[in-house]
Amino acid sequence: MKKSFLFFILLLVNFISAQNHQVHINYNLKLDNKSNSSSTELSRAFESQKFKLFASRSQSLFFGIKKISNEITKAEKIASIYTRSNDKFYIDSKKTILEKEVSGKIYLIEKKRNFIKWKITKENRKIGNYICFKATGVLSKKNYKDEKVKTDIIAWYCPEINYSIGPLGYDGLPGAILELQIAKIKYYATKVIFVKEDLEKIKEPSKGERMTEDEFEEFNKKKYQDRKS
Amino acid sequence: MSFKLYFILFLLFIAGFSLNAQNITVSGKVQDSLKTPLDYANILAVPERDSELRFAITKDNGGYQLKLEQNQTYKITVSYLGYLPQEIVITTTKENLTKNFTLQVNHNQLDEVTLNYTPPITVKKDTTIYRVDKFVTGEERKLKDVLKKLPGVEVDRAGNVTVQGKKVTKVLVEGKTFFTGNSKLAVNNIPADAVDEIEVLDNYNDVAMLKGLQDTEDLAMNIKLKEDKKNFAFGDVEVGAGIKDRYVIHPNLFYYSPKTNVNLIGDLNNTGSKSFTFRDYLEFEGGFGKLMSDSGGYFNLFNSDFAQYLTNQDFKSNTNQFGALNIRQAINEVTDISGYVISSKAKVETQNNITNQYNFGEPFTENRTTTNNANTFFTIGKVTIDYDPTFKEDFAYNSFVKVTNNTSNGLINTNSINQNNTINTLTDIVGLNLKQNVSYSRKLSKKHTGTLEATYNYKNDEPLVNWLTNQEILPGLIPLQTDAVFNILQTKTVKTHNASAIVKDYWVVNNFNHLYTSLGVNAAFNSFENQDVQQLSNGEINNFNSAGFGNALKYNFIDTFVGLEYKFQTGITTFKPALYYHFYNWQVNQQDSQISKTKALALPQLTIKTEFNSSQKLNFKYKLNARFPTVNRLANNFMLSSFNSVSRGNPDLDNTLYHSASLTYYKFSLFKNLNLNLSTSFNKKIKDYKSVTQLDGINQFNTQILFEQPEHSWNINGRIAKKINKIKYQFRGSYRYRDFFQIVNTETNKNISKNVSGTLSAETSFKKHPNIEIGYTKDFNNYRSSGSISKFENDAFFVNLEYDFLEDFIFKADYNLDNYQNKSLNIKNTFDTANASLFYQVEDSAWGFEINATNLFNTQFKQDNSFSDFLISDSKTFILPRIIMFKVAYKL
Repeated sequence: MKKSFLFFILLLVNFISAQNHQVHINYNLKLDNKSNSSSTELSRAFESQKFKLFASRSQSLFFGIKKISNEITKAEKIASIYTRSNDKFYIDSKKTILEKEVSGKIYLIEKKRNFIKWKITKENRKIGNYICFKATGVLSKKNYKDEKVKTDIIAWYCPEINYSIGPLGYDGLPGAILELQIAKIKYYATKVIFVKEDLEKIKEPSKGERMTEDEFEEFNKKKYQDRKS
Repeated sequence: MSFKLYFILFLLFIAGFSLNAQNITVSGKVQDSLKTPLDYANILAVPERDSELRFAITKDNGGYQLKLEQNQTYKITVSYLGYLPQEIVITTTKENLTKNFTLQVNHNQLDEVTLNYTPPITVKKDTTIYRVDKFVTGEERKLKDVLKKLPGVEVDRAGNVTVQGKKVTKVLVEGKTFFTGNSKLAVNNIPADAVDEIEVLDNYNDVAMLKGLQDTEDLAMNIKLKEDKKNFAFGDVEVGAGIKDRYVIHPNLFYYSPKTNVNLIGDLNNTGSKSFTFRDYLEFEGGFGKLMSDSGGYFNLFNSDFAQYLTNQDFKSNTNQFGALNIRQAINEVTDISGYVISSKAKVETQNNITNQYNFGEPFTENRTTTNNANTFFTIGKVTIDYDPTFKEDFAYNSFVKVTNNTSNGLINTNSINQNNTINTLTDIVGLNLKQNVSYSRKLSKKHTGTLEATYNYKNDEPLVNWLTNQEILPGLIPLQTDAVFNILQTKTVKTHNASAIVKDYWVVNNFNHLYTSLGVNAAFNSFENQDVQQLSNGEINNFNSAGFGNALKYNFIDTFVGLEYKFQTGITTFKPALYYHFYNWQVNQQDSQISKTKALALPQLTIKTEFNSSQKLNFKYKLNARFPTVNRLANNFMLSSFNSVSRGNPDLDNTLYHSASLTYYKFSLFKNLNLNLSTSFNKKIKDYKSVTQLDGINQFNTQILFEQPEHSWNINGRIAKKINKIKYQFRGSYRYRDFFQIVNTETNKNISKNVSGTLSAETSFKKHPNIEIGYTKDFNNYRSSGSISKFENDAFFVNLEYDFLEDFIFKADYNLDNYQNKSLNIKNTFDTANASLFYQVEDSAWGFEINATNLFNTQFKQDNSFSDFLISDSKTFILPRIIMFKVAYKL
């Protein structure tokens, strides 16, 4: 009786801990643009951006690491906009939220799930000791000028890290995305940490004005028109 | 309307159903060793054939459903973090399957894994590193196929490699020169699957401490092999037979280990393919006495007639026997001994039909047909000992041997207004060349590096030429006695002893200022002897000495020089002005003339290099050059040069002098896939040797003078290539201008030659579809001589096709069309050639089969034109007939 009780407790603990296992991935950035001198101030600003991805079985959060400095240079400001290092991407089983700051105000934008149709290929290569496979996709978006823009996306995901996660909220692949390239910007993983202890649940962004994706698009269009006039 | 809709929906349903019908479902559960179900486990199915990857993710109960294609083989991998992945191979049938997996805990699972990002291409000043696995697809056979996939790297059909527009001059494997360093041998033979990384090293120097000090134009490519390929024997053997007694046997064997490398290449064929052309062999001659060539004012010794045979690429028939052995052995950590032996025996048959237009006096035409059967034999061997005890010291000793024996039997048929003659020419050339070279470099102090180089060269050439004809040749120029058959024999013996030494100090004043001083001496002792005789049919000898023929001369030459180079850098530009001061001292001793002269010359140089970034460079070079006469220009008695020319040298000749300048610009953009090369060069002769010709019909009598009116030549070349999607577009253009004087029959005339050429081409690089390369070239040649202008035009079109189909077949074909027009003589000629081959190799099998056809249309000849002095030549060169071969290749 004692034995089976102990066994039951162990199983329960195992089960519970399994629920709280997390994977933390650190990402750095690389600009795939060698045509100009690679040591311009802007390139350096881009490549100094760093990101983290926290994921459990039920949630994931991707965010940029903010710099602690009183003066952020103009180059760094531009870099953080293009690399999305000031945005937070949160995904759980029920929703997908993008936390964005525009002109000092925080907005929480609900996005559609799985907005990328991935094309999986046989192509593979090693990243560290992990065998990763290549998937490609096309992102179709309307920019603030209301023009349709298509961007090529290349993702290298690792089936061994069996979490369906990736930078910038890109998920849906049978493995964690260790390298993601959108146009000239490449996010690549530098460290993968497997956290076995109990951790607090990943915090869902809650402060800010809530909007849907379409509402935010309208909001952006209006802002752009306001600036033009 | 609605019927149409239902019909379409019905079709889609059927299609969907039939698509499903082609799939089967594999289902099951994934659990751990304690029978706990694992949810979120990844199941990946990689098909063996080229089709889609499939995957599934397990649910709460560990269950999954995987949809796979029928009748396919898949490698299924199940992975879960913290557990060891499990792999099985299954072949699906028409039935659904059930497969359960039990995963074992991975006790070695790290809590933290650091990943090092290796970019596919790293560029660091002079070094570019390509990680090969990021570019290849696995279908590549040889290094050549791998190089073609690297951005910025191009390989032509012959095996020459250019990186960002610059030609690779040396190939290394694991840091050591591969064979002779020639790129052809490496790219056509190193197996693709052994290559791990490719490093391209600009301004490469064998001696590491001299990098940055000694200017080199060398662009080296270093192949790094995969770990498991470091101790390996690889290679292949190709055997083939073809229609009308054609054969090819081509073994190519390598043994490689970090301490010992052995390479054996053999080639026996009569299909005209050469694994090693004579032109490649000429490249060996370089790499000796690098420092000497910097100093300028060098002189070229007598070049044996052997050189004529080296450049021939078009022949009617060709039998080749070639063998090469290369061994390198590391004796200890600091000492390396290496050597190679190359032996080649070839039989070549050539035919040429030339129409010569003599634009002088009364212009007339000569039709000349030349057929030649040549047997060439050469063996070259080189032994090198490298001793690098520390970074501060480097010692190398080279010993080189070349033995050549070439014989040929040729028939010349010449037909013109005042002559109709058939001449049989027999030649026999025997040559021996021995070179010893020692070079020593040492870092003397923090700021000074010193090098010493000494070379000793011994050369002995004995060419023999025999002319046989039944009609008198060179009337009035040679004292022929009447005979049934005229048998003229020329013997020559040329001996050279050459010793040279140079000492150079590199002083790094600071990072932006370098000062190099050099001191050297170059001494040559030559002897030249020749006899021209007529062998009469009654056994007697009619020696032409009585008519002023026959030479015996000794030519001693010493050049002592001092040089100063100052290299400084401002911003992104490096300047290097240099001045060499030479003291020349020479004696020419002949039967009735002893000449002794001295001369001092100051020869300046300037090099300017601007590097905007690693992929945009501008280079400027200027040099004032001087050349001294070769032995045959100094011989002051008459000498037969060919069946229609007699020449006499001039022992009084001084040095030539000419300016040379060049400007090259290249830009390479990896991201924009754009490549731009522009170069222009300019040459101005102040003083040069010129033949003064007395022309009588087709017979020439030439004497030598030092001509002092300026002559110019100017070239502009441009190339721009851009890749858009999967197609590379390229445009190549060039303009060449040359003016020169001709002195014929006491008249001096200026001739001008202009050439404009443009090529437009496109090349695809699809992975699945056939790949095609097409291009069009237009050439204009304009020759102005003695007031008349001759024009030639050529339109060329080419198509190359490569199609990989049905997994294991590779089909290649190429087609070339030339439309040639001699606008002045109104001759038009269109000829086309085509080649095709079909290659079959089952993936991962050692056997490969090939059917190969060259010159499909059985084209007889190629047509071309050239312009020299008072002569414009339009020539038809005959080529190999159609050959169909069946080859079998076995890969080790």
